[in-house]
Amino acid sequence: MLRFVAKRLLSGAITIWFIATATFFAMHAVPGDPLSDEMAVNPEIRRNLEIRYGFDKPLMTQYAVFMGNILRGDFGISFTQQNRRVNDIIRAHFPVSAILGVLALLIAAIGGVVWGALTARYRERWPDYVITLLVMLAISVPSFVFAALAQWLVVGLNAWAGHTVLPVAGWGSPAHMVMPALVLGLGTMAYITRLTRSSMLEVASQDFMTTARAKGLSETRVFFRHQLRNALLPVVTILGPAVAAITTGGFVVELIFAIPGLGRYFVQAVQQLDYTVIMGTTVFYGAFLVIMVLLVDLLYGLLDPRIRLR
Amino acid sequence: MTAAVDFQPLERAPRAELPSQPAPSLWQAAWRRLKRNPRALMGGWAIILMAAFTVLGPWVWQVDPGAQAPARASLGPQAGYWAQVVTDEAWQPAPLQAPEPLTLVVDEANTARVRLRWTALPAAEGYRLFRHERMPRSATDLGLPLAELSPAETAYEDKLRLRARDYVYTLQAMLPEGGERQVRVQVRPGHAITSYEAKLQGLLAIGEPVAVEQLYLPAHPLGTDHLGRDMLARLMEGARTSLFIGLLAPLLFVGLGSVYGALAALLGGAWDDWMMRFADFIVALPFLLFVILIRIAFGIGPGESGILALVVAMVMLGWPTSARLVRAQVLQLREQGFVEAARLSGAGYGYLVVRHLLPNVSAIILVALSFAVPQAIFTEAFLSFIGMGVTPPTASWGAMANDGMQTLFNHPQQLLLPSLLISITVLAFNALGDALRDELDVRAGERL
Amino acid sequence: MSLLTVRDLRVGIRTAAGVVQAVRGVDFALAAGETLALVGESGCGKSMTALALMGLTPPGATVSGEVTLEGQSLLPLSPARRNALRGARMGLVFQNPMGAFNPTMRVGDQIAEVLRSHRNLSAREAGARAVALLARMQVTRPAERARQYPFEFSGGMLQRAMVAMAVACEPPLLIADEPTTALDVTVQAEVLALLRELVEERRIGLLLITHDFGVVAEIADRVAVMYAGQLVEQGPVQAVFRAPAHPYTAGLQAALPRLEGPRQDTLTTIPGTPPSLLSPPPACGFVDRCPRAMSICAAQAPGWFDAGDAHRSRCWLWHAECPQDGQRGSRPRIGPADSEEVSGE
Repeated sequence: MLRFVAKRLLSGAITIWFIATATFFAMHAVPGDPLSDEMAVNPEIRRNLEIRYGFDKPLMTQYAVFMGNILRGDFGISFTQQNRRVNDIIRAHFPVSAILGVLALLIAAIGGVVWGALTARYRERWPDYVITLLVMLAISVPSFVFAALAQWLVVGLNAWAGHTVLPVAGWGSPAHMVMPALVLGLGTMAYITRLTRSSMLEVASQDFMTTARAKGLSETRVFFRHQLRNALLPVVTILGPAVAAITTGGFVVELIFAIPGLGRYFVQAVQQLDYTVIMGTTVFYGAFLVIMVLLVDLLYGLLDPRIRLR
Repeated sequence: MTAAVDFQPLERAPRAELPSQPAPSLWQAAWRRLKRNPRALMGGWAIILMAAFTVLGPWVWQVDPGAQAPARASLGPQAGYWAQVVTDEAWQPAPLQAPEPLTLVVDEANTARVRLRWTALPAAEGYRLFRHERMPRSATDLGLPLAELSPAETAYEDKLRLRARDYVYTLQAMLPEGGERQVRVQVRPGHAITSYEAKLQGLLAIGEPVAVEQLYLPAHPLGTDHLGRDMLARLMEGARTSLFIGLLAPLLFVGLGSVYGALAALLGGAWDDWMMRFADFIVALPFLLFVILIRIAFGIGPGESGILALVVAMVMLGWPTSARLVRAQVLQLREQGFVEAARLSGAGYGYLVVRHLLPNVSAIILVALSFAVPQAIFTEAFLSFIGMGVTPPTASWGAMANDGMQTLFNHPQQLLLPSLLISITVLAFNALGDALRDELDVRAGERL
Repeated sequence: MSLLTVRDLRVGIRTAAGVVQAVRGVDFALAAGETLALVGESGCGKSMTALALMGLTPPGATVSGEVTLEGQSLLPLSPARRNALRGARMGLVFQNPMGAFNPTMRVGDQIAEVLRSHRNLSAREAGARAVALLARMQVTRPAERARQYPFEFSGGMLQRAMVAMAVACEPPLLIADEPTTALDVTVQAEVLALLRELVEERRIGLLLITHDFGVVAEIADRVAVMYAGQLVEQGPVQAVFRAPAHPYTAGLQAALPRLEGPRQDTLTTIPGTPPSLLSPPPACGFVDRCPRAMSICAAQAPGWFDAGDAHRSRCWLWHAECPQDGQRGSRPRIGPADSEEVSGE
C-alpha cells in the first residue's frame, strides 16, 4: 500500500510539472506581443512593464522563473488588474466554485447510484425504462440548455408563487446554490446512473450472488452487502473524470447563473487575454484535477482489498 | 400395447450432410444484426436525415443566413406575405367633419401605423385613447392606454408594435365633473412595411424613389433570430459548421490515436512504456482549458472564429482515448494464436497488419469514432457558448445557442432550436455507438 | 423415510427463442448419510436441477413437480419460508470457488454471515464459529485465514472454506455442483475426502453433481444419469459401472480413456449432439444417437424398467417383450461396439 501511494504521488508530481510546462510554452507560442498597444503607448511604460513581467529575459530564464514561482506557489500578478495577484484571485473565487462543485458531485454521485440501483432492481420494468430514457436525454442535452431551462423554471416558479422562492441568479445563500448545483450535477448523474446500472447487472450475474442467496440471506442484505457494494467499485473509478467534468461544466453554470466563481473569472480572463491569470488558473486547475484523480485512486485502493493488499 | 414389430431395429436414413454455406464474415453478420437493431436504425436514420438537412437543406431553402432585418427580429414562425409599402411622410390630419359629435374614424390601418380621427366634442376637457386585443368587457377593461390628448387634438397615429390582427380602439372624452363618453372602433391592420425598413433590409434600392406599392416579405418557417436573420437558414449553416468540426476532429484524432496505439503495441517494450506514459500526460491535461489555451496560442483572440484552431486543439488533446483502446486490442490480438500461426506460416509484417490486425481492430475504431463525435459536437457547442469557439457572424449550433441565451425569456425557441439539433445529433451517434458496440461485441469505454 | 424426494421435477426457462425445457420430469430420492451422484454432459439440466431444489432458478423460470425435504414440501412455500431453509436445512457448494465468494468481503465474515442470519448469534460468536469451521475443514492457521479475502486463498483452500460455509448451520442436505472440477487432482482428492467425512460423521445427504466418473467412483453410493433434461438410468454405483443399463451410460463410459490394455489411436465419442430442449423430442431423447435404436424408440417415450437390484433404466431394451439377443432372460448387450470412432488429435 505504501509503495502504491508513493508511486502515485510521484507520477502525480511529474504530471503537474508536465501541465505547468505545457501551459508555459503554449502561452509563449502566442504570436505577436503580449503587451497590447493600449497598455504600452509610451516606450518607457512599455520597458517597465517588460521588466515587471520578465519579458526582457530569454525564454528559458522566464521558464525557470515561472517554475520556481510555481514551486513557491506564486502565480504572479494579473495583466489587466495590475495590483491584483493571481493567488488572491484564486483564493477569492475558487472556494465558490469548490462549494458548487462539491454539491454537484454529491448530487451526481448519490442520485446516480440511487437511480442506477433502481433501474437494475426493476430491470426491464417501467422504472428501468423511464430512468433509462431520462438518462439518454440528460446525456444528449448540452449543460447550458439545462442551465437556461432551470433559470426559466425559477422565473416561472417565482411568478406563480408571487414571491421569490429561489433566486434566479447570484450567490450568497443556500437558496442560491440549489439550482446551479442541480444543473451542474445532472450530466454526471446521468453517466453514473448508466454505469451503476450496467455494473449492477454484471454483478447480478456472478456466482457469488447465487452463493449469497443459497446461504439464505435476506434480500436486503444480498442487495446491499453483496450486489451494491461490489457494483460501486467501478463507479468510484469514474469519480476522477466526474470531478473534471463538473469543474469545466462549472464555467457555463457560473456564467449563466452569475456566480462569482473561478470558472467565470477564467472565461473573463480569456476574453481579456489576461495571460498570467490564464496561466495561473490553468496550472491550478490542472494540479487540482491531478490531486483529485490521485485521491480517487487511493479511495479505490481502500475500497478494493485486491488492490490494497497487493 | 406394443407389438413385436416395435422392437425391430430402427431404419434410419443416412445422416444427410448439411449443405455447406460460406459462413458470413464478421462484418456481414454484424451488418445483418445492425439492420434489425432498433437503436442502430434510429441512430442511423437520424444521422442520414441530419446529413440531408445539412447538405440538401441550403439547396432547397435558398435564403441568405446572414441577411439581417432588424425590424423583423425575433419573430415566430411566419408565412410569406405581401406587404403594402408605406412612406414615412408626416401626417397632417384635417379635422373630421361628421354630423354626430365624437365619431371615430379609421383613416389608415396597417402594421406600420393605424391613423384615427374623430369629431371633437365641444364639452370635452381632453381625450384618452386605449387599444385592446379583444372587445372590452367592462369600463376598467380597456386595454393598453395609448395616449392622453388635449381637447384641441382630434387625431392619433398608433405605431406601437402592430400586428395583422383585430384591435379595438376606445376613445374616451373626459367631461367636466368627472363624466365621460366613449366610442369604439374595431380594425384589422393589413401587412405593411415602411420604405425605410424596406431599404434597410435591401428590399428597396436606397436613394431611389419608391416605385412599388407592395413588397413580398419572405417566409420564416422557424422564425427569425434577434437580428432578424432566418432561423432555418442559420440552422443549416450552423449544421455545416458544427458537423464539420464534429466529424473532422474525431476522424483525425481517432485516426491519429489508432496509429499511435497500434504502433505502441507493435513496437512493445520500452517504446510502448514511454509512448503510453506520454499519452497519460496528455490525458491529465484539463481538456477544455487546453483547447482554449491552444486556440489562444494560435493567435486567435476572443471574438474571432477559429474553426481550424479548434479542430487542431481537439486533435492534439483527444487522441489518447482511442490510442489506449487500440493498443489494448492489438496486444490482446498478439496473444491470440492466429497471429502467431500466420507468422509461422511465413506471413510478412505488412500482410499481418493488413490482413489480421486491421479487420479486428477496425470494429473498436468504429465504436470509438461514434462515441467521439458527440464528444466533439459538445465541445464545439460548449466553447462557442462561452464565446471561445465559433463566433458571429459564422453560425454554429453552439454560437446560435449563445445568441439565443440573450432572448431566453421572451423567445426561448432561439436557444431551444439549435440545442434540439445538437441533442438529436448527439443522441443519434450515441445510439449508433451503443448498437455498434453490442453488435460488434467490443468493449470500448465511454468517456465522461 | 428419505431425506429428500423429488417427483416429476420440471423446469422451463423463458428465453427470447421460446421456453427451454431444461428439466423434464426428474424423480429420485436421497437418504440421510447417502451420496447420490447426478451425472451427465454439460447442458443436460443437472445444474438447473440443483438450482430448482435450492429455489434459485433464474427469473422467468417455472418449476413444477414435488420436492420434499424432511417431510416438508418445498415448492408451495413462500419465498421467505424458502429462504429460511436455504443455508439452514440445505447447503450449496459451487464449482468455481473463486467466483463463488464475494471478492470484497473477508472469508470469515462470509461464513459468519450464514450463522448470523439463521442462528441468533452475536458477531463475535459467529466469527469464532467461522474460525472453528475453517479449522474443522483442515484450513491451516484458521484465525488468520478468516481475516483474509478470497483472492488471498488458493483454489483448494477456498473450496474448503466454501464447504465450511455450506455446512455452517449443519444442514442435513448438501448439494455440491461440480465441487472439484476447477481444482488440481491432488486437491480434488482432499476435498472429496472432506465431503465423504462429512457424510459419514454427520449423516448428511449429499447430492453430488458431476460429469466426472472418477469422482463418482470415489465417493457416490448411487448414480443417476441425466440426459436431455431427464434421468435415463439410476442404480447403485457398482451396478451402473459394471453393467450400464442404458446405451447413453454405456457410451459415456466407453468414451473414457483407459489405461489398461493397448493404447487406442483414436478417442471414442458418441456421435451426434443432444436434442434441443426448446422443442424436446416426444419419444426417447437419445434415439438419434443410439446404436441400438428400435422402431418404438422413435415413436414412444420409454418409462422406467427394472434392470437388476435397485437398478432402473429408461430404455425400451428392458421391456419384457424386447427380444434379448437370442438368449432370453439375460441382459441385452449394451456396449460401445457400434460407437463411432473419430481421430484423436
